[in-house]
This record gives sequence, C-alpha cells and structure tokens, in this order.
Amino acid sequence: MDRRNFLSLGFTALASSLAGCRSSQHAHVLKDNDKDLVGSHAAGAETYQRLIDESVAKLLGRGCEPVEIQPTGMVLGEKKKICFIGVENCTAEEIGDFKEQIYELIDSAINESQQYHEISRRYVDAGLKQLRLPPDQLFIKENQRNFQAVMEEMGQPFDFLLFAKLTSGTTQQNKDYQRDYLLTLELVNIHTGDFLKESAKLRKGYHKSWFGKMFKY
Amino acid sequence: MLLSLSILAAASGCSSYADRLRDVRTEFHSGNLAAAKKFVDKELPKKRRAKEVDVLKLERAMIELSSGKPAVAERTLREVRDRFDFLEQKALAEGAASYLTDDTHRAYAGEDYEKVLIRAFLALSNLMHDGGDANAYALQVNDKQRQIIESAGSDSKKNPKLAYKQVALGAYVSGMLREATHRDYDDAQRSIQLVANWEPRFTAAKQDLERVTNGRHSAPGNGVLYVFTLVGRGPYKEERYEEPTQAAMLIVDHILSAIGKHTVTPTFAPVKVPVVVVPPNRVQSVAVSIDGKPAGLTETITDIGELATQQYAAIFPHVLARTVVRRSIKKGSLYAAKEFGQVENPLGELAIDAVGVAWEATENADTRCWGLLPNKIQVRRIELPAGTHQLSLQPASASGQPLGGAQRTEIRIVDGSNAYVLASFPSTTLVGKLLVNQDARPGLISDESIDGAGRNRAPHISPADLPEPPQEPAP
Repeated sequence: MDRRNFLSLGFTALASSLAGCRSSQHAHVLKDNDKDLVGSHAAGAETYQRLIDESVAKLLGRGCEPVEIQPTGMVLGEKKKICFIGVENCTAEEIGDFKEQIYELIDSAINESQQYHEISRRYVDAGLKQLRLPPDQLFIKENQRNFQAVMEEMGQPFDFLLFAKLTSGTTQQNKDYQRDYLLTLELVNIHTGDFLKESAKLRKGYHKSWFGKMFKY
Repeated sequence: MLLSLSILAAASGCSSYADRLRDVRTEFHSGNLAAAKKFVDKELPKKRRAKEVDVLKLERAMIELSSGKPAVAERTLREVRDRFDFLEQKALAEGAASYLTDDTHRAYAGEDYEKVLIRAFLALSNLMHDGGDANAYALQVNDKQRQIIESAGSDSKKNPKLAYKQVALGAYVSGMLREATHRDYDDAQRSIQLVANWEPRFTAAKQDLERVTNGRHSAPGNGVLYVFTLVGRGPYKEERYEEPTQAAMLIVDHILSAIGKHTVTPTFAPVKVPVVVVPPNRVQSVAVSIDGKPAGLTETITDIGELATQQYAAIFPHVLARTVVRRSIKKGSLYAAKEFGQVENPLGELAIDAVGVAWEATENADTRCWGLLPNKIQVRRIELPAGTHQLSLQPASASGQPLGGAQRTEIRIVDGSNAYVLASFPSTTLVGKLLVNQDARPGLISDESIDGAGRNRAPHISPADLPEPPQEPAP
C-alpha cells in the first residue's frame, strides 16, 4: 500500500467514525393514496402492481366477449373453471418475496371478477406434486390428461389453464439503463387448445445519479 | 517512565475477548455444551462485558442449536441480527471516544461475513424447527450481501468489498425450497445457478442445475433428504503486534522530536491489531450412509474460514489505518498539552511522554468475533423412497477416510417432500445432538396428519393431552 493511499484510508477511517448518530428504525402505515416507493435497483410494488392491474383487466375484458375461447357445451353466464398454474420469472432480476404476492394478487383479482371460478392453489400444488409434473410439461398430451384426471379425482375439474410470465428487456446507455417489464397472462382452453393472451408493459429507467434522470428525461 | 512501564505491563495482562473465547471454544469443541453455556451465561450479565453482549449471544445461539433447541437459537440469532442492523449506523460520540481509547470501546456491529452468516444460520435453525420462515431468511442472505457491497460504493478501486466471496448457502436453501413446491422450478434454477457461480467447487450444483432445468424434484413415491453438516473449527480473532508499523512510527516520533519544539510520545507500546485465524482441521467432510449403504460425502457449500480470511484481508488496511490515526491523535493531543501548558523543562516533557506511553499501552486489539462458527457448512442431497430409514453420519478426511465413530438416527421420508438433518462435527466427534426437522422425526407424526401438499395438519388434541392445571397453594 503506498503512502498516499494509506493517508487517505486514515482520513476516511477518521471521518467515517465521527460521522452521524444512530437512530432507531421507524415505520408507518401507507394510506391508499400514498405513492409506492420506486425500487432504485430493481422492480418493486410500483412495477408489479401496475402490471397486474392492467393485464388482469385486459384479460377479464376479453373474457367478457362470449365468442372468446368458450368451452363447447358451456352455458352462457356460467363461470369458467380456471387452474392457475403459477408465475414464471424470466426477467433479469430476482423477484424474491414478490413471486408469491404476484400469484396471490392475480389470483384474487380474477376470483373477484365473478367471471371465473379459480381452483384453490392448494389443490393445484397437490396435483402437480402427485404427478411430479413441472408446469412446462403440462402441454404434453398425456401429462395434461393425467393432470386433469388427478384434479377431477380431487373434485376440481377445470376448463382452462392460466399461466403468468414475467419478462424483461434491458437497454444500456453508459452507466444508465432502461428496463422494460412485461407481464403476460396466457389462458389456454384444455379442450380445444385455443389460447388467449394479454400482457401489460412498464418501462423503468435506472440511473447512477439524480442528474442522470434529469438529463435524459 | 516507571509509571508507564508498570501500566504497560498491567495493560498487557488484561484479558481480551480472544482469551475468554478460548475457554468457550475448548468446551464447545470437546462436546461439553453445558460448561460452554454456563460460561456464556456467567459472562452475559456482567456490566464490563456490555460491549460483548451481542457476540456472546451469538456463541449462545450456536450452543442452543447444537443442544437441539433450534427455535431458541433462532430467537437469539434474530435478536442479534436486528441489533447489528442498528449498530452498523455510525455514532459520533462513540467514534470519537474510540480514538481516545481503542476499538473495544465501540459497539460491535459484526464483521460483514458474520452479518451474512447470521441470516444463513437463521435459515438453518428455522428449517430444523418448522421451516415456515426459512425461505425468507435465505432471501435475506443474498439481500444482505448485496447491501454490504453496495454500501461501500461502486468504484472498484476504492471498494474492497466488490471482491468479496459470496455466501452460497442462502441461494442453495432458497433453490431447495422452491424446488420442493414442484411448481417454481424457474426460481430454483435461478438460485442454483447462483450457487454454481458463487461456489464453483460445489460439484453437486451441476446435477442440481440439470435436475431443476430438465428433471423433477423426485420420482413418484420418493422424497429427498438434505444432510447439512457444520464441519471443523471455524475462524476467530487473535491479537497480533504490528511490529513494522510500531518501528516506523517510532522513527517518525524521533524525527518529529528532533525538529519540533517539544518531544513526541515515543511509540514504545506495541501496535496491536486483530487478525483472523483459522485453526487446522482434520475433519474435512462427513460420510453419509442410508440403511447401512454408503450414500456419499457432504460437500462444502460455504467455506467460512476462507470467507472470513478473505473478507478480513480486504478491510485490514482500514483497521490498521484506524490504529495509526488513533496513535497520531493521542500523540498530537499530548503535544498540544505541552504547547498550551508551556512545558519547557525536560523532566516535565518526560513525565507527559510517560503518561502518553501509558495511554497508548492501554490499547487492546478488538478481538470480538463469532467464535463458535464451524469452518465449513456442507450439504448432501439424497433421494430416498418414502418411509423410515436409518441414517448414519461419520466424520471423514478430505479423501473420505473415516475419522471417528458413526452417529445414527432414524428419519422419515414423506413422498414428494424434503427432510432435513443438521449435525455439528468440529472434530472427530459429534457435538450435541443430531437435529432432524419436525416432519422427518419418526413416530412423532402419523401419515394421516400429512395433507396432499405434504404439509402437516394440526393434530387433534383431546382434553387428556392438555397439561394438568397448576395446584392451588395450600392456605
């Protein structure tokens, strides 16, 4: 270590030791109209909540149209039975504890719509576990038949499979980057194989400094 | 001068945390958990140990975990985690005081590796208890690592923490739990990929990655056993005399004394710094047998000794710089005292220098650390048919040569679920108990109490199961 480096380390050590005071952590309950914090390094509530709201609304909007992938023999007005398989994260980020919440938010929003009847996740998990089926293998005819049979055995027949997929695309510009997030909901009619797809997109800019944002937007 | 020499001698006789830790380590590693606990419990309430309370609690958590009390250990670890999070903020008064005394007078917020490992051990403790929060703790491991590195800045020349080795255990536990959902294979793949990147010597990561990408958790009718082992005696801190620095400072003192108006306190008192030491370990892995048949050796998922040494080496220049600055402040303040007090005669100068030497001699290296950590955390994954099995664990050398007696226990594998076992082998004998998670303990839960998703249903409680009400005291 050279002398200049050591001296600067010394001053840094002194300055950092003398700076600031400790304070206890505080928290508060946000009101409904309070803005979400914007994740500085990755997507957070500000991203996922909007993506979910938009994609679910679009899907439900499409679902209202009677010609859309209606199972044969289904009476108009009857609730469609959906088996929501899960959320697949294909973004460049780890979503950590958000994954379960995204599932629950989509699940609740669809259930509240009164158009669909969703099968409880506990049954879906038990069915997948019993057959040891990774979700992506559900499109193999035999696997799908077996899964349907298991679900029917549990008294949970269904007409549609619902998949949610999160993807991202990153555009780099020197130290700043833009990341586009896309949440796609795919509803597949297991009787005919027809599918309906809706997605919502949100773009976010990440900057190393406040000026980065100011100069670019 | 006589006074300073006598203080110097007395100060060097003061016991440091390293000295106290030696006894606890000896008792713990020889399997005498009761004696180790007694020592920690005796030290904890002492007022003069106020700055050591958190590390003492960490030692206690390891004793509790090995004693078969993972829920208690989890509670203790959680308490220290929150306390370290609070203490890592800077405190003006304490920072200033430490420049007039030494680093042992600062509150201890934990070394970076300790902050991360608290979360890793929280995940392990929770797995052995009910497992409900294990994934959250595992995510916190990665989160804390990211925070530590980012808080030191993004300039690779100024931030030594960018080169830190990452703890792969959090990602491994997270991947393991996501895979057990039979649904979130994408998450499991992401986590295992991190393990493969962060711990390239962990060869099982390749198979794990292949399985979560193209395979499945287990074949129908099978479950999976994860054997976690805490192997070897881990790192701790010792006091070392930094002789080249002392010699350099002494020369500087002489030069300044020769050219200055007053003399500068000579650096006679040794410059003490803490260093991380990893003791040699014979036990390098644990041989696992199922129903009398060998099932392989446990493999290192986190090398704590290496992690501690590497991380401490990265921040050591800062530790040394702080020590030198402290000495300079002490010398400078005594020089100022001579100047303001207009001390002119040599005897007066000598007396103040003697006080200065004594002051410097009272410094101790901050050897506080989590001293009961193992050297390595290892794991072995074994797929087994559902039912009851005999598990045997035997400490082994790096080549797999058995080194001590085998420890046996029964485990219960549930179809499609994970079972977890944790054992501590600091040397050739098991310390404490072999821990088995709740669902895998045979005889405790009947098959009927497991629902379709492999979760425990609450057992039916009859009035006869309730404890007797306390007896009324006689009038």
